[in-house]
Amino acid sequence: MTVDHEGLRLFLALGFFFAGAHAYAKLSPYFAATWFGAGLVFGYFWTGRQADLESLLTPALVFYIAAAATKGLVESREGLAGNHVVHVLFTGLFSGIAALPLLACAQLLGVDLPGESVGPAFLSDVPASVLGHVSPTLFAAWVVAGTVFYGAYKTLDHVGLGKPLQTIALFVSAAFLPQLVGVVLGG
Amino acid sequence: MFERIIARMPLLLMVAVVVLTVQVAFVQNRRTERVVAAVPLAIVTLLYFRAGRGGGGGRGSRGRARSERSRSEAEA
Repeated sequence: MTVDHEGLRLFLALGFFFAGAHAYAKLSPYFAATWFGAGLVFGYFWTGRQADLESLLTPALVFYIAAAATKGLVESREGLAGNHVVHVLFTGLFSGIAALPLLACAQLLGVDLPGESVGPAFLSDVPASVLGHVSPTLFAAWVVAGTVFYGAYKTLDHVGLGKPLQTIALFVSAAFLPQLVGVVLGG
Repeated sequence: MFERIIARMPLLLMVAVVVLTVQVAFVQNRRTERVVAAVPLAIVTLLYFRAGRGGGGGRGSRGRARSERSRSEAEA
């Protein structure tokens, strides 16, 4: 079996669907719709409005895997149960970790995934071989993107808006969050 | 059956991403150095499984269930 560009697309589409099914069944239909909807908006604007399937689907999928890992490894610990800042930071870190192998695959298959090419100067000193020849800047971009996305989701979830207003605010903010990622990375 | 699979979906997705990377990087392209990109996720996946978040209960969940049982027995 050989995985090519179309194979990677199919993998991301199935992953997106099954992650959505998990969110729908285990959390709530509202969560599934807002998380993956906002993720699609985020992906669309992060790639400069290129509507490639892989660019649209990857951010929401990666952030969901990262949030699930955070829930399993960090939020379940008694000492960290209510610490939202730690949850957001770990989701960012896990976003980078979950994106790394997908970025490596995408580069080998000649597929463009979203990410920033600029970043702090110290990242250029990190050898790319440490991250499987994925640029440290790209890894940092996914860490910041995961942090920003989950941070915005948590903030809007806890600020006390009603669900309709919260949904509108989330979808609108998702369009501007990629710019915030660029600002954080110094782009 | 389908519900049990859905309940394990985050773990399955993490495993699938690692397997995809091994397939594309090592099996197809013989680029061993690219497999390094999947190592951090493989570690996170193992920790997630050990924490008993796989849906079916890994060693971690069994250990936690045992300690909760012994605690309730001690309280009784």
